[in-house]
Amino acid sequence: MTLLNLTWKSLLNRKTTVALTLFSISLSVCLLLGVEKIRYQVKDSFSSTVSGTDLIVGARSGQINLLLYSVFRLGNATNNISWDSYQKISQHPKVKWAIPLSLGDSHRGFRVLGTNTDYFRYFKYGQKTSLAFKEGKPFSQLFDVVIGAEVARSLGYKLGQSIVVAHGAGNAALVEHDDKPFRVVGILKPTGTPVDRTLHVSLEAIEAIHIDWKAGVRLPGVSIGAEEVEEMQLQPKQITAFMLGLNSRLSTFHIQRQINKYKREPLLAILPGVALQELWQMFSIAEKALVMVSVLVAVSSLLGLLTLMLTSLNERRREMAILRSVGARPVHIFLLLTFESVIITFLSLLAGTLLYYAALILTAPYLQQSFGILLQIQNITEIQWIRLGLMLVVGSVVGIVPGYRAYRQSLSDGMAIRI
Amino acid sequence: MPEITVDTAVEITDLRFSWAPGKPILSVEKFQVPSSESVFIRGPSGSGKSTLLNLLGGVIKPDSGSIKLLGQDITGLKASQVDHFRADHTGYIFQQFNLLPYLSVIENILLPCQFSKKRSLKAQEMFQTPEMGALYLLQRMGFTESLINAKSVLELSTGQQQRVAAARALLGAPELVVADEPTSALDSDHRDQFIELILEQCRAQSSTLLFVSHDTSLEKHFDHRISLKPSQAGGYKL
Repeated sequence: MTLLNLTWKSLLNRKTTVALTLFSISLSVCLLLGVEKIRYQVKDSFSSTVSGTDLIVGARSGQINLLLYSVFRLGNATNNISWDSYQKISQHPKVKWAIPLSLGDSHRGFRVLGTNTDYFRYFKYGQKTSLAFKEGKPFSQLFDVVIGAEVARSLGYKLGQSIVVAHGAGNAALVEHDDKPFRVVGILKPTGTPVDRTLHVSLEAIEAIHIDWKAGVRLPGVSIGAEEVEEMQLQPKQITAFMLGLNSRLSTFHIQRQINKYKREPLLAILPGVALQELWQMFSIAEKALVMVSVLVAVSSLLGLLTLMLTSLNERRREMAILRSVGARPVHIFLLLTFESVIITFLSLLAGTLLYYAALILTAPYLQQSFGILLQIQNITEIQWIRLGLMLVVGSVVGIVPGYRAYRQSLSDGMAIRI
Repeated sequence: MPEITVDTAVEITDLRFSWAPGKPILSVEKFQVPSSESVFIRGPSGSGKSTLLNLLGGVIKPDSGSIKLLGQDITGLKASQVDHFRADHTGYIFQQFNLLPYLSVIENILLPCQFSKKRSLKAQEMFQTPEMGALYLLQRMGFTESLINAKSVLELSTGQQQRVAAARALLGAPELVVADEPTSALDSDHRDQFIELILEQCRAQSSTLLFVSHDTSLEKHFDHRISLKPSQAGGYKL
């Protein structure tokens, strides 16, 4: 029976208090791992929302604003840009492809994006992954709609479903384009990006549903039916923004400068990566606060361990005296307590990690559904290992304090047992 | 390390001890115990018994004088050396609650052999393994198998617990066995029986027994008797 064994049996003898402390440290371990996980995944899914796009062009505002409405479908464009500008720029010899984006309508809280079929060909996310269809195909008819995975899942839409688009963004009962219903022809595979929460229609469809509208309201007395509109010239006059892919990335800054100096109308071209980085910087303070809180929780749980051990010292005077009387040296007493904190911390790390994985498995579907954050079940990352390691070190160091006190105590108490 | 063979197990000379200058607690002019014999040290409470035991254990140091145990002056040893010396050569039995509640009967008895290689080796010499030694001593103390296998030492009666403590103090045949009021929690019938058991084992393994108590009715069992008495200089003297 080694000293470690003795420590273990002594711990088992104090199951309840030890278990409570263990539980509180486990929770903080779980939190430390979880916060890092969320931070990492949010950043990851953040930066993977768009890839392979060299420039995003919109009306002149701020680059974060443009990024938010064009990529994240958040907020509204300050202004539209003309179809003419889009045509001119997309025909530039250095431009490989251009995806027009037209926003402004919604369907039950999900944004409707007007675009063309180049979107399904050129738009990439994550590690330069193209969009893939789970079912169906891109839109070809005027009133066809392709829906994102999340839209299909939460609204329970299937291929062939007929839906009505509302004017404006938001969930409230807005004026609906109920005279021109759409038919679901394609459902995309999940991407973990805002694409999942978007309905895609053709630019012509956006034009068609607004043909009898002006300045946001339906023109009184004018009603053009769905069949009639198909016969009409539906060339859009303006769009919200567009994405550009260049033949060579080297020309990115050159093209960006040209667009920003465009004479006919004030345009802004941004590099998505730079804008994403800037946007992430805005979150970094929240990120730091989150990490800070989890560190504080960890510290307070370890202080709990320290309190437990220090208060138990007095009750355990007899135990120490008995050990001294059978030949244990003060250094043994010191080790006994240090081992104790190492064992408790180590077990807490194990339990906390298990708890973390359990929480991950349980909450991942909910987080994906509510916040669009995809939490992948992965191995412990390097940063997480470092946190676990630090926790073990600090937890073990915590044991030195009561260990030293017990050491001093056993020197002065000797073998005299005080009840 | 050669076996220590001396005729005097304990020898205290001109010892003085005080917690504060001018307030003597204990003084011992000359105190000798021959090897393998038993001594009854009588002292009322507050007479410096614990001080004497702490001095003999090397936990505290005298202001002056020497304490020789088995020919070794422990006052000159460093704390860690004293610790080793005590673990190797002394078995202790205290008043009550001598056992660790989270260890089994056998585990409790084996504790000294965990901390002293010397005692462990001696137990092996005598009984093959320390465990066998523990079982032998328990048997001598009148333990049945079911008692030995008791789930917790807390299931045992006080008298049984004290016998486990005695077996623990005796295992590995330490040269010195110090008993501090070990019978105070026992009723009178069990007291004499308990003392006889310890004495018998001490004789069998040539251990010197120092038995401290305030109860004079017990002194008849011992080879030597001595009292702690108030001293004119203050405190008590042996």
